[in-house]
Amino acid sequence: MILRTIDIHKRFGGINALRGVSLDVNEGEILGIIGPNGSGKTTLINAISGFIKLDKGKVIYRGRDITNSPPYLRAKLGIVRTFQIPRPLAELTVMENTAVAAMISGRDKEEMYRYSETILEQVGLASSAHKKAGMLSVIEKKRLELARALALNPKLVMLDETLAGARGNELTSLLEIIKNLKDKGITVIMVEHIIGAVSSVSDRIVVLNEGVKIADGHPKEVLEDYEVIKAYIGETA
Amino acid sequence: MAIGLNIITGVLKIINFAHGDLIMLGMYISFWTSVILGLNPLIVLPSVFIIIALFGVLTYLGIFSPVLRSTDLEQLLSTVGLGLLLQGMAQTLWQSDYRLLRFDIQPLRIGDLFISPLMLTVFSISLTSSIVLYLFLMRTRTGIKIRAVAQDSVMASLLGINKRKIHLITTMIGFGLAGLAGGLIILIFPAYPTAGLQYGLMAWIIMVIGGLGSVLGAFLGGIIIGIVEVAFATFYNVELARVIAFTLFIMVIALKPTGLLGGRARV
Amino acid sequence: MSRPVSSIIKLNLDTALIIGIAAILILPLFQVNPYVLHTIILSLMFAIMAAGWSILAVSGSVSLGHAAFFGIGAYFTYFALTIAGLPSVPALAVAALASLIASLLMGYITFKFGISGIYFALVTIAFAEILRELFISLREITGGSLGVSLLFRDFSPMNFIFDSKLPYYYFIAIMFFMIYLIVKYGIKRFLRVLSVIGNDEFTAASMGINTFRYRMMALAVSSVLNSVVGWFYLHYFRYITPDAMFGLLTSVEIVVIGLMGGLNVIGTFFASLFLIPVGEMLRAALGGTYAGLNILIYGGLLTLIVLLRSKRIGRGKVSQ
Repeated sequence: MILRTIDIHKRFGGINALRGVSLDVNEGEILGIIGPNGSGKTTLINAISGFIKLDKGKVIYRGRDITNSPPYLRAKLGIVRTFQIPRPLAELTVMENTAVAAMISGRDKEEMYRYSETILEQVGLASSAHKKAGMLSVIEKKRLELARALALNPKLVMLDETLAGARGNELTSLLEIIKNLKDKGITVIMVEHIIGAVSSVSDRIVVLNEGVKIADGHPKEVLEDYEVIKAYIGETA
Repeated sequence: MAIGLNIITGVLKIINFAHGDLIMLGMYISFWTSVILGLNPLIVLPSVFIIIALFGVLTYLGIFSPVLRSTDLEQLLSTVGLGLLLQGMAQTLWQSDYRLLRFDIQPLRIGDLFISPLMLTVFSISLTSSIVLYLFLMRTRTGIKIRAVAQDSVMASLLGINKRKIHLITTMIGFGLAGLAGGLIILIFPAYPTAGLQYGLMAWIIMVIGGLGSVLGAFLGGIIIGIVEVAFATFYNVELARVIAFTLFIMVIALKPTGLLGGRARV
Repeated sequence: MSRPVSSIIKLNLDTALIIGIAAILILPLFQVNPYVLHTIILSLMFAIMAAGWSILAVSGSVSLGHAAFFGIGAYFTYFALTIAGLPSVPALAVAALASLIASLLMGYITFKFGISGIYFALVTIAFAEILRELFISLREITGGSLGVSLLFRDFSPMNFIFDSKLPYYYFIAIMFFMIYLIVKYGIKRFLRVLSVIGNDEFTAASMGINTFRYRMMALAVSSVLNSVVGWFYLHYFRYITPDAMFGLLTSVEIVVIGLMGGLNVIGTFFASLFLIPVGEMLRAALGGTYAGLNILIYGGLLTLIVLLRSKRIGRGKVSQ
C-alpha cells in the first residue's frame, strides 16, 4: 500500500471540504476518484500533495507520515500532481518546460534533453516540442502537465481532471498514456468528473460526495451503487 | 494633535480600498503637490481639492488605466515612479528648502492646556472630512457602488456597475482628498520634497495596520499610529518614532496581512 | 527555427560585453580625465548592484529598497574601520556579514509568512526607510544626516586607499567581469531554478523545489553583492550619508537599471553605462537643479517602463 489517508478533515471558512476521508491506495493501481462538483476531489489532491494543511487526520506515504511535510518535499518523495487548470511556464517551449522538471529530478544537461524527448513522445507532444507553452491549446497544455509530471520520475501521479473536455480519439489516446503509466509501475490517482472514461481504466473507484467517501470498490459495483447515483443525479432518481 | 494628522492620513487610506490596489501610494504625491504649491489660508482648500482631483483624472487616464490590468506589483512600481517624478519636479522648481507657513494666532486657553486654534481647525476639518467620506461611502449610491467594486470587481460588473467609471471617480476622490490633506498638513508642518514619500509610506502603514477595505480600520489605524508617534517622539526622537511605526507595520503585515480590522484576504 | 537565431543574438551580446569590458580596461591609456573615470566607476557599481537585484527579482521578489544593503555595506565598513580599527579586508567581511544577517532576517520574516509580490516590495521600502531614519537618529556614531567621511590615513593598498582613481577603476571593472563570468558559467542551474520559482511558485513547489530555501539564497546573494559595492564605495568616495545610502532614489536607480537591462547581467552593464553617464552629463550641465532633475528622470523612467510593460501584457498576450 503506497498511500493512506486517515480521517482527514479540511475546512475553508464556511465550507467543509473534507469531512473525515479515509482511503488506501495500492501500489501500482489506477484509482479513480469521482464525485459531483464540490465534493472535495481537488481538495483531496491538494491535501495529499501538500498544498493545503489539514485540520485533522494523517497522510501516510510508504509508511512515512507526511502530514506536515511541505509540498516540495512530497514531490521529491515521488508524489506528483497535475493542476486542473494547466499552469505551464508560458514563455518557455514545451521542451524546456519538460526539461526543467527533468533537471530538478537531478539530471545533467545531456540526459535532461534526451529524457524529455522520450517523455514528450510518450505523451504525444513530440511534434510541438519547440512551441511556446503559452501558445498551446488547452488539450495540449494538459498533455504538457502530464509530461512535466512524468519528467519528475514520480511514484504516485495524481491527475486532476486531465480528461476534462477530451473526446473521441483524444480521449482514447490519453487513456492509453495513463494505462502505460501503470505498466511502468507508477501508481495513478485520477480525479475525474466524467464517469465512463474513468471506469474503463481504473482498478478501483472511490466516490466522494460533500467531503465524505460514499463508495469504494470495483468500478462495476460502485457505479451501480444507489448512493452514488443519487449523489450525481439528486434525489429525483 | 498628531492624531489630527493621522486622521487625515487615515481618511486618505479609506479611499484606496475601492481599487483594492496601490493607487494609494500615488496619492501621497498629490497631496504634497498641494503642499508645495505653497498654500495659503483655508479658503483655498476646496480649490485645492478640485485641482488635485482633476490631476487625478489625468493620472488615471494616462497611467492607471492600463496599469490596472497588470499585476499589483506593477501598479506599485508605477506609482512609486510617478511619485518620484513629481518629487523631482518639485525639487527642481522649488529647491529642497523647507517651506513653512507662519500664522500669528494666539493659543487658546482651556483650563490648564494651551491649544493652538490652528491644530483645532485642522483636527476638526479632518474629522469632518472623515465623517463625510464615511457617510458618502455608506449611504450614497455611488458610495455603495465603490464598495461593491472594492469587494469583488468581477461580481460588480456583472451587476451592471461600470467599473471604469467607478475607478475614475475613486481616483478623483482619492487624489482630491490627498490634496486636501496636504493643504491641511502645511498649516502645521513644513513642506519639503521628500515629504511625499514619508507621508505616503505612513499612509500605507496606517492602511495595512488598520486593515484594507475597512473604513473604520483606516480611522483606527490613523489613531494608533498617531499615538505611537507622539509618544515616542516626545520621549526619544522623531526618527525613532518612525522606526517604531515601520516596525509595527512589518509585524502586522507578517502576522495578519489583512490588518487588524480588515476583511478581505489578500496575498 | 527560432533556436538558431536566438543563439546568434546571444553570441553577439556576450561579444558586445567583452568588447565593452575590454574598451573600459584600455581606456585609461588614452583618456585620464578623472571625471570620465569617475562616471565609469559609478556605472560599474550600479551595474553590479542592479545585477544583484536582478537575481533576486528573477526569483519573484522585486525589491524597492535595495539601497539598504548598499548602505549597510558602506556603514558597517565604516564602523569596522573606525570603531574597530580593522584593516580593509576584514572590514569587507564585517560588512558582508552584516548584510547577510539583515537579509536573512528580512527573508525569514517575509518568505516564511508568505509575503510576496507587492507586499514584499512595500516591506523592502519600509526596510530601507527604517534604516535611513535609524542611521540619522544614531547621530553619535553615524553623523546623522550630514554623514561621515573617511579621513585619508595612509595611501596604502592594504587599506585600499589610493590617491588616484585608477586602482579603483580597474578593481571594479575586474569585479564586474568576474561576476559576469560567475553568473554565466557558475550558477546557471541556480538561476534556472530561480526563474521557475519567479514564474510560478506553486508549480515550482510541485516540482520538488524548496522555494523558501532558494528564495533565501537569492536574497542572500543579492544583498551581499550590494554590500560589497557599499564597501567599495566607502573606500572610493570616502563620504556617505544616510540619504544617499538608503534613499529611495538609490533604490529606484538600481531598479530602473535592472529593468532596463532586462534582468540580466549583460543588460545591466549597458543600461548602467547609458543611464549613469547621461545623469552625470546633466549634472555637469545644470549644476544646482540637477538633484531634482535626476529624481524626476528616474521616477519618470520607472513609470514609463512599467507602463510599457503593462501595455504589452494588456494586449492579449497568452496568459498562463
